[in-house]
Amino acid sequence: MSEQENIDNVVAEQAATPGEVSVGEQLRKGREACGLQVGEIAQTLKLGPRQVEALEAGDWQGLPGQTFVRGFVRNYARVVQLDPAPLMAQLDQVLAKPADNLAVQDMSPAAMPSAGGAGTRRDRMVVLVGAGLVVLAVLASLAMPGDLSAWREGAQALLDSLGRQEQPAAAPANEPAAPGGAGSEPVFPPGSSPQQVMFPQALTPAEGPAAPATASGAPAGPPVEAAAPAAAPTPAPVLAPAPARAPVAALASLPQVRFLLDKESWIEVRDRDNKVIFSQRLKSGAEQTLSGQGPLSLTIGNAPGVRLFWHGQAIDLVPHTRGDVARLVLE
Amino acid sequence: MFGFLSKYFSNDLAIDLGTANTLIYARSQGIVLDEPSVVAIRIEGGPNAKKTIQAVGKEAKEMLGKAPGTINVIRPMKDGVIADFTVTEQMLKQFIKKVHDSKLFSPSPRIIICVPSGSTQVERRAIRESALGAGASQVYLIEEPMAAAIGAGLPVSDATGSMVVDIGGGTTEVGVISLGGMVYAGSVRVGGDKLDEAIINYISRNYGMMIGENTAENIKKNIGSAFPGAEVKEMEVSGINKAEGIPRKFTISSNEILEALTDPLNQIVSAVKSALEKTPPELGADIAERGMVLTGGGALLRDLDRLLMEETGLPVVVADEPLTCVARGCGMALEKMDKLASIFASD
Repeated sequence: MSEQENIDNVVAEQAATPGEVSVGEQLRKGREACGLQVGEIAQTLKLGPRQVEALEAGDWQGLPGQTFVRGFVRNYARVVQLDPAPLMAQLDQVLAKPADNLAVQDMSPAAMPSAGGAGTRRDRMVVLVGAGLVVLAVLASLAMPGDLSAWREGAQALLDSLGRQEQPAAAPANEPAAPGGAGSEPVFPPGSSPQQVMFPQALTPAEGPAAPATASGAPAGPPVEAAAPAAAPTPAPVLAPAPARAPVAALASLPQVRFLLDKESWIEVRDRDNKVIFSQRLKSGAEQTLSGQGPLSLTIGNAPGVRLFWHGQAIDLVPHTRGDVARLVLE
Repeated sequence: MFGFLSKYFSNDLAIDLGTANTLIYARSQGIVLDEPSVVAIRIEGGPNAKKTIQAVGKEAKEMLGKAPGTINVIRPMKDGVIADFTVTEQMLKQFIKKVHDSKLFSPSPRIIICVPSGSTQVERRAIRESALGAGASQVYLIEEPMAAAIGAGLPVSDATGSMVVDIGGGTTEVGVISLGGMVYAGSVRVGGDKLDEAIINYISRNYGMMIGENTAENIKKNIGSAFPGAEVKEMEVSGINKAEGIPRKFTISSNEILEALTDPLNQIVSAVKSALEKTPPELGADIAERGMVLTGGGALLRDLDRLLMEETGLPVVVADEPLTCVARGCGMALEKMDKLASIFASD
């Protein structure tokens, strides 16, 4: 299209300067001086007679682009023994220099996905993202209060709440197999951390005095065993009534294991996922209460010195003991 | 990673790494270097034996065939591709240094470099590696016929067939281009060097005289022609008489040179004909209307266009400034390299 405009300009320019002999005119005169016909020139230049006439008429429209026009004129000039240099100079004025033939289409073509094609763009993105992060960090450091303790507390609280959420999320998966069908009840009492659930004695201060009483009162089990039947109707017989009644009631839905140690021993308890829920060396006279999703696998070292209670019922370790170690599964 | 920053420190370059001449086009500056692809290497003996580059380009070319044993004058490119990798790399490095303005940063330009369309993967890789070794941060390859067509001002992105014949020092490239891509590309390893060689052989056979490469090139430029013309030119040439072993002068005519050049010129003609045979008919019609464009140093051989016109019956035109067409085409591609993708060659 721009070529068309150029050509129009050319024609206008030629018309405007009639004094100067046009390129085509010079070629025609040269041909006539040599006594050649248009057909002969066309034969020599391998052009059509129409193209030769177009050259002579200066009708560049009928000819291919500038490169070819210049070439044809040069060849023609050589045939009719004219010096092509002045003709070329004249053509330079008349014809615009070869237009931009590398015109890139304006439409943006849809790019095909290619592996590693946009390398520099990705580079730029990396740098921009990096710079953005740096700016963010600077802004954050400016906006942050000098005292970081508030932040630390906030973060701790967040971690705690996350830990609390995680535990219930894991529990439902275990439930279908859990005995006692504790489906609808919350697994953990609200406000208690997992540690507290695993070692409930930590949260029930009432049991604290009770345990020493049993330990100091008599080495044998009678008091506890006596207490157990008495408390039998309640779901949590071993746990003395305490301020934290609701949590205890919730705990009661899980199987309860209680160890009373007459001698130093080592105890490991695994739940049904074979996850260690308790593994510790306990001193003589200690008392340990555990709960977990059954069946619970117990390994008790120095078994003769340990008394085991399952839901408040004393369990004889002797049948399960080999050597000094008792291994049994509570369901 | 920071490759895109390098353009602020180094100007992008387009290089026509030719067998005979190397041209460098710098973005928004035009052609900044045009030197023969010749390197002179001085071999030093003694306790500190080492090789140093004595001269590159024009200076080195003048030494061609005149150097003592301690100076090795090498043309590292042969048949359009790299014959001596290390020397090519050093030559490119020297040339890039010559055109690099800033002394603060070592040059690391993005480079467009053209390769013969018939070159193999290995040869392209060698060219790419040598440019990288010479300090380029990125190297893009473009096939010579495409660069030549762009440089000659052909409408490469139009839906018309354009035929270009680029006769370089080492190769003759024939390309048919339409819609920004190469429809046909052919390459024969016949170029200016083969023409010189043919002249040397002819004179040796018929005159019993030995002449050098530079003399043969001068004969070709002065009285060489491809088609019998009306006027016969003569030239006085010096060489060494093989029988006597003595330098002698003799006169040779353009008709004899025409005879000498018949063989290599026929190869060029058959390459063009074979390209025409393999061109799709629609594009063939365009070519019949417009003809083909000759570029490269070989296009300056007198009446080569006449020869091709007579042989093919098609119009043939010689591009303006055929020697720099490829470099200018590379340069135009360089100016738009971020927008043009189809014109670049893959590996």
